[in-house]
Amino acid sequence: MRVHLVGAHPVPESYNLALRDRAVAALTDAGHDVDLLDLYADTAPADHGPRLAEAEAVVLVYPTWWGGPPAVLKDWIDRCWPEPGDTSARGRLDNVGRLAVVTTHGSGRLRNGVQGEPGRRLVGRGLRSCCRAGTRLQWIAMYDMDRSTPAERRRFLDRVERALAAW
Amino acid sequence: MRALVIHADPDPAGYSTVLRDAAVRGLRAGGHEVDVLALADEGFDWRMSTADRRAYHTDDPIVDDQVRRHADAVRQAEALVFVYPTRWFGLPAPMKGWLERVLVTGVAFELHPRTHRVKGALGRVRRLVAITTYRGSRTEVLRFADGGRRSITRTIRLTCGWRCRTTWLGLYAAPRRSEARRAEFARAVTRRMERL
Repeated sequence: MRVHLVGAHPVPESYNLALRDRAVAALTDAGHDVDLLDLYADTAPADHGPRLAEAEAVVLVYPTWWGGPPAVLKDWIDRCWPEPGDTSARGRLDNVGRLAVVTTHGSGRLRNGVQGEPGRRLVGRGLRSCCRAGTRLQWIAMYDMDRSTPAERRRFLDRVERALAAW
Repeated sequence: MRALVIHADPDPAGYSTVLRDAAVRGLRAGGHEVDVLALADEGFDWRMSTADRRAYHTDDPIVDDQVRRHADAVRQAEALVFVYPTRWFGLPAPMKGWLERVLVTGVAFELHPRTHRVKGALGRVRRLVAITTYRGSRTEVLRFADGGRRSITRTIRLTCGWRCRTTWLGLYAAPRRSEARRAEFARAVTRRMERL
């Protein structure tokens, strides 16, 4: 399967990039063709739409900031995904049949629940509605990142690997 | 009240500029002191940079003079007024990026040094206002979950004092509205801000 994996974190030595690299390795080992887009490294926004149009699956790896994806990732969504109700947009993305999000939340489940998880709704209701009918969203999230231990972070890396190796 | 208007629009010719001016007019007419941050006019870079993020968890999380100026404006504000066009049922990238770079530790919240629990630091803010246009109808916005509204009336609201009130002024299906209807919405914005 051709998997478009989109990451957005500005710090090369960050945990988020370790998650991204683990995700790429798991999918590649499982025999998938991974097209990696690092929104902080990439300087060719004109290619973003065509690359998304070739994907059979989309995996987003990002830190949740203020309840949702970082602005650079939101910018990619605003530019490349056809928003329902936008008359200038180009219809659906029928090529995409599978979605996954790998994300970390600084705060805990309770606080995120009260906030209403706008990021999860954006992908689960919004982006999913543009994909092929029946597309599922796999939500792989770590909560309470700011208070996590190294052992917990290692376990979450393993969880990401297991989840995507099963694709 | 001291009001801070934050205006972000990916489209320089966007209708939100009209709404921003309508809001400022109303606030001034109501006797409020108004500061305006027009992000596009200022050339505000809304991308969280590597230097920003590396400093994020330190005692001095702001590394940029423009961001520091915006943070000072937030610290003095008693009302925060967000003006933007809704994109994908949420904040457009420039507005989201402004939150990420400006509302950092020591501005919008404090982290407990040992437990790292979040504690809001916007206790001075008594009003949160959003003035926005939606591409979709109200039904569509509800179906796709009003993410922008959650970001402001819940996520930011949690960092404000418990008495802070929120005001939501949205024009639904904005691209399909007539000029007259848009002008009427702008007038309603002015009237509402006058009696904030």
